[in-house]
Amino acid sequence: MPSHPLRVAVVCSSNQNRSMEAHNILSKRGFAVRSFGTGSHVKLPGPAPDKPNVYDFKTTYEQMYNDLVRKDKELYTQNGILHMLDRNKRIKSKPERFQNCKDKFDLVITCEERVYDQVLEDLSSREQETLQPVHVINVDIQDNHEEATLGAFLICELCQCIQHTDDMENEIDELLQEFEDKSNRPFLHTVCFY
Amino acid sequence: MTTSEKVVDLLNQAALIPTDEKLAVLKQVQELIINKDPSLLDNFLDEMIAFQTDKSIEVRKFVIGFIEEACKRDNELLLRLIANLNMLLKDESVNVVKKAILTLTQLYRVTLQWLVRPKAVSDMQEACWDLVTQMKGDVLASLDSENDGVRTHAIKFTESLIITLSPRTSDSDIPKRQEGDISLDKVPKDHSYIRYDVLCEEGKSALEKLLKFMVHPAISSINLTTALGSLATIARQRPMFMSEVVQAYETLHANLPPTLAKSQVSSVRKNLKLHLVAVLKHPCSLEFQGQISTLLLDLGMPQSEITRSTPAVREQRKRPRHEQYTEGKKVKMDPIEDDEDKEEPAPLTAPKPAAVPVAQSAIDLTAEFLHPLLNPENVANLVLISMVYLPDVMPASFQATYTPVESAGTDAQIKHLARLMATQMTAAGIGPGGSQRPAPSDAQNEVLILMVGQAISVVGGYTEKVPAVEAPATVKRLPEPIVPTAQTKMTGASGRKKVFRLSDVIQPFSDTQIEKLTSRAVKRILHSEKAIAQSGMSHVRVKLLSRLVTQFEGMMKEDVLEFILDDIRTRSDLAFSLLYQEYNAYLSSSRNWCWRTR
Repeated sequence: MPSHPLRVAVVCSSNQNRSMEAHNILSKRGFAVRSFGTGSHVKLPGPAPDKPNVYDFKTTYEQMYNDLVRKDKELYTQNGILHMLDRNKRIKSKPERFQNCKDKFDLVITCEERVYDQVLEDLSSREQETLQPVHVINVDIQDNHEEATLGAFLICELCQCIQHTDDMENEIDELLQEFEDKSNRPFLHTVCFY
Repeated sequence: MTTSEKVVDLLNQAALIPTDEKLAVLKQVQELIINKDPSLLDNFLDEMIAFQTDKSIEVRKFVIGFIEEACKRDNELLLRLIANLNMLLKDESVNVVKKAILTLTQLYRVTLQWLVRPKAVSDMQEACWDLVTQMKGDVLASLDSENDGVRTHAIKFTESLIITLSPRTSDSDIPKRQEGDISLDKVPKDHSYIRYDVLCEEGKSALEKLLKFMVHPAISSINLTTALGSLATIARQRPMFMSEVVQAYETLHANLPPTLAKSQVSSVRKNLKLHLVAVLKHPCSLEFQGQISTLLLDLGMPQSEITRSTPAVREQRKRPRHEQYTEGKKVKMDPIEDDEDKEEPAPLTAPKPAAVPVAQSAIDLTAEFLHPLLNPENVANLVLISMVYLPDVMPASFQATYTPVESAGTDAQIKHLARLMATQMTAAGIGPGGSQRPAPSDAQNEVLILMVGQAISVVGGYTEKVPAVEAPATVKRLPEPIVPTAQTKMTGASGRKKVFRLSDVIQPFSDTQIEKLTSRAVKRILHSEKAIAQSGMSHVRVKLLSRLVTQFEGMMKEDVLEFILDDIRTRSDLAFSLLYQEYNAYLSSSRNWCWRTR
C-alpha cells in the first residue's frame, strides 16, 4: 500500500460533464478528489450547436439550473442537462477553474487533449518551489453522457490501480501501457513540478 | 500553558498515538517551535529528530521536511542536522529517499549561501560542507538508479545544482522566488575553504552528466520529459548554456529513444514543443532562432505561432557568453575550434570585423560538410539504398509523427536535412565534426556501412536515415559507447524493432532462370580453353567439366558435346574424360541396382 492517499484532480473544459462524472465515482470510492475546468467560461449546450449557454466560473450550479428551467425546461430535461446540474450541485456548489487553484495534487487527469495542453501550459508557467512532481495523464473522453460514464469508470479503475502500487512513479509507465492495450485508447502522460 | 509546556505535551502524545494523528500533532509542534517561538527549536530538536526512525514512511518524510524548515530558520542547525539528512538519503523507502533529494536540493543552496558569507569557516563548518558535497555526489550518482522516480528527482537536483554552480548574467531570466538565491557569481574567489574554480567545474560537469543521461537509449519517457524541462529552465536562467541546450534538443528530436511507445512519443514531442517555445521566448535565443523554428515546424507548430513567440529583435547582439564563459580549468570549445581551423585550411573570407567569430559545434561542421554533397543524384542513391532496410508497412509511431516536407528541394530544406543528418552522425561519432584527428584519412566504407546497417534497423522511433558514405574524407572513429540508434535491448517494447533479415529481401530463382545461368556458366568455362591452357590448369578444367556434366542433368551435356565435336582433335582429352565419367556413373548406378535387387 502506498504511504498516503492519492490526491487526484480530474479536469475537463467546463467542469460539468466528464470531470464531474469522474469526481462523483471517485469520491464514492473514497478518493481525495477534486474536479476543475480549464475553459475561460462554462459552456452548456443550448437550443442549437452555435448557441450555447455561457456562464462565468463564479456561477453556481443552482443558478445555472434555475436559469435553464426558466429558458426551456422541457428541452433541458430531455437532453439531460438539468439532471446533470442536479447531480453536480450535490457534489459541490459551483464549477472551479484549474488555473485559479493553487492546491497541490499527485495526479491530474484530463479528459481531452486540448484540456491536457491547457493544464500543462498552466503548470509550466508557475514558478517551481518545492519541485514536488505531479503526473498529468490524458484520457480522451467524448463530451456526451454515455462516454462520460464509461470514461469515469476507466479513470476510477486507473486511480485504483495507481493507488495500489507500492511505488507509483516507478510503476506508472507499465500500468499505463496495460491500460492503453486494455481500453484501446491512447493515453498521454507527462510530469510537471510544483 | 506556555508554548514550551504545550510542545512537551504534544510530543508525549505523539510518542503513543497512531500515524495519522501523530502527523497532525508533529505538524503542530513544528509550527510552534519554528514559527511561533523559534527559541524553543534548539531545546526540542533532538526529540523531533528521534522520529526519523519511526516505522511510518510519512513520519520519516515529515522529519525531512522539519530538517529543511529548521535549517532555513537557523543555518547553524545545519551542523547538527546534515548527518541525519544523509542517513535519510539512504533510507530503505524510495519515497523517503525522494523527499530527501528534494530537501537536499534546497539545503545545498542554503549551506553554500551560509558558508560563503564569512571569509573563513570553522572546522565543523568545513566538515559540514564536505558532507554536503559528498551527498551531492551521491545524488548525482543516483541518475543511474534503477528506480524511475529516484532518477526523476535526481534530474531536478542536477538542474538546481547547475544553476547554483554557474554565474548569473544580465540576461538571466530568474523567477522572483529565486532572486535571493546563491549563484556562482556571489561566491568569493578568495574564500578560505570553498574553491570557486572547483565549484565552477562541478557545475559544468553536472551539465555534461545531464546531457549524457539524456541520450541514453533506454531513457524512460518521464525522465526524458523532466530533463527537457530542466534544460529549458537552465537555458533561460543561464543563457551561456543555450547552445548546448539547443543542440541537445536537436539531437533528441532526431534520435528519440526507440523504447518509447507511440503515445509516449506524442507526449514527449508535446513537451519538447512547449519547452522550445519557452526557450524561444528568451531574448538570447536570437542566434538559435533558425534552429528552434525548424524544430518547431517539424513538430507541427504553424509558422504564425512561431513568429508570435519570437521576441522582437532589439539590437544586433554579439555572440558573448560562449567565449567569456571560459572559467575553470578546461575549455570545452577549444578542441573543436582547432579542428575547424585544420579542416578548412584555406580561409574562406576574412572574418567580419563586427561579429565575434562563431565557435562552431560538431554538428555545424558536419552539416556544412554534408550540405554540398546533397545533390539530387546522391540523395536519390541514398534513398534507394535505404529503401532496402525499410519495413513493408509504415509503423504506427512513424505515421503519427510524420509531417510531409513542405519545401523539398529548396536550399533551406537541404540545409535542414544536412543538419538532421549531421546530428545523427555526430551522435554516432562519424563525420568531420565528430572527429578529433585533423587530417581526414581514407573513407572506411565497410565499417561505416556496417554501422549504417545497424543504425537503420531501428524502426520504432522517429529516426532519419544515416547515409551510406559516398563522399570521401570521412574519418573513422570508434563509435561512442552509447549509440542512440543502434541498440537491441529493452523490455515492454516488443516487436517494435525490426532487424534486417536477408531472407526478407531475396526471392528464389525459377527453374528456367537456374538453367539459363548454369548453361551460361558452363559456356564460359568451355570458352576459356585457351586462357586456362596458358595457366597450365587444363586438366582441372577437363575434370571439372566432365564431372559437372555427368552429375547434373540439363542442357549442359549437349553444349559440351557440341563443343567437343567442333574440334575433336584438340579436345579429345575432354572427350575421353567425359566418357570415363559417364562410364563410372553407369557402373555405380548398375552396382546400386544390383545391391538393391538382392
